[in-house]
Amino acid sequence: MEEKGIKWTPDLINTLAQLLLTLFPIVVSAVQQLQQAGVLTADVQQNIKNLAEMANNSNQVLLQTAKDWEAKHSV
Amino acid sequence: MWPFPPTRKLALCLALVLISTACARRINSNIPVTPYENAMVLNAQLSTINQAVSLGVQQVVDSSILPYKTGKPIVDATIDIANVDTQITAILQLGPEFSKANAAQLQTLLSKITDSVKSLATSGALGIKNPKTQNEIALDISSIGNLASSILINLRQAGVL
Repeated sequence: MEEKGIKWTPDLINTLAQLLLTLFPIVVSAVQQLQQAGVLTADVQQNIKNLAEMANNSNQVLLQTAKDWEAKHSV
Repeated sequence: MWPFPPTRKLALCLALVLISTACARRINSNIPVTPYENAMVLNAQLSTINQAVSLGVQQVVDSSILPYKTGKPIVDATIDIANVDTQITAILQLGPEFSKANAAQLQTLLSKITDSVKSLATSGALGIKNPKTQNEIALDISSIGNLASSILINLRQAGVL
């Protein structure tokens, strides 16, 4: 197993801690959105509309942030 | 050097947490959730997870934890998936009858998402040469592909496909 070859150096632990700190807010936000997506009302048409809006918002935000990110790194 | 094995386990745990928190249920009503609504929920979840993956990779690169050349193909794949999912959503939001009339296009678009996930894992874009490790990474990021497959299953149950 590759895992057995890992040396748990202070640098590695620091990197993993940074990784957790970086990803934690993103995961919390995603979990909240996922929970919200799973809560439906009695109105099927409204549910379809709301869920489509949620998907469209996520996709638009992703495309915009990725565009900004690419622009930042292409400088 | 980026520590792949612990990060892989972490990513798998995060994916499991994300998926396990997202079962569809109807409030204030005894009417069961329809397969079409389930497909819509899964589609919303797919876009949410894709966005989280994209944003996560961007921030990990910006924090200098992951090199830009390793992160860019992943972000590019999430962009492709978002573009395809926008087209899927445009069809699904018009209801079961419209989706049924565009069943072939829906199937093609959903296949594009599963293909994007598979090709990202096996292309070597992640900087992983070992086929066994490639497979493990494929499992980690396959939650997006699995959601696309689940959408297909629910659309079949709804009589759309």
